[in-house]
Amino acid sequence: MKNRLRVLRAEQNWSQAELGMRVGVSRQAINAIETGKYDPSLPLAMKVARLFGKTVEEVFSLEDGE
Amino acid sequence: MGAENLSREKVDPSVRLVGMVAGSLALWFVSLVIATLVLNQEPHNRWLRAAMVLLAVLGFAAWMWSSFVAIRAQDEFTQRLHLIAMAAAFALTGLAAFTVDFMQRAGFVDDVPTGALWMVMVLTWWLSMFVTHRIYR
Repeated sequence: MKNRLRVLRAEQNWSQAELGMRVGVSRQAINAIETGKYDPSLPLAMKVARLFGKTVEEVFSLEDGE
Repeated sequence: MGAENLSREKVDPSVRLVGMVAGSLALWFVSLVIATLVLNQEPHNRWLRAAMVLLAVLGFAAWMWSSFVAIRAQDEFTQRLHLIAMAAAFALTGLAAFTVDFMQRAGFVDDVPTGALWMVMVLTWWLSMFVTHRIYR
């Protein structure tokens, strides 16, 4: 799964730690999501999307073949 | 009461959790040492031996419980890392037990104490946690 988390976060000028704090997870969790090592749960994905004022599909999307 | 709450709020929850796990680990170690020392003297009193078993088991259980509470308090990503590490530890311990079992049957090693099993499990859990954190972070 790919995501636009890094771009959206940069637009807000937030650090990974700051974003993590806003959605209730660690900096490491945000880093793992951004680098594609970890796919968040649906509640976390929805929290992130809501924080940026987007839908889940606008932040997260399946890669070709998934 | 109010002052107590205030001092509690000043402590970072993660620091409190680490302290709890470290404290229970120390408690387990102390209970293990005491129980081992007493049982090594092979006391005749049945109740004393039973008490030492209980002491060692309670020490271990306290550490397990505090670890469980600490893991439950983490975010979903960290919980996933723990899950992977525990699955790896379970598999590695099973593999080690199976290997030793057949090495004993083949006559390559003498009887291995059952205490080795939980030691292997704890060590592989810690090792798996270290490796899993390195991979995912």
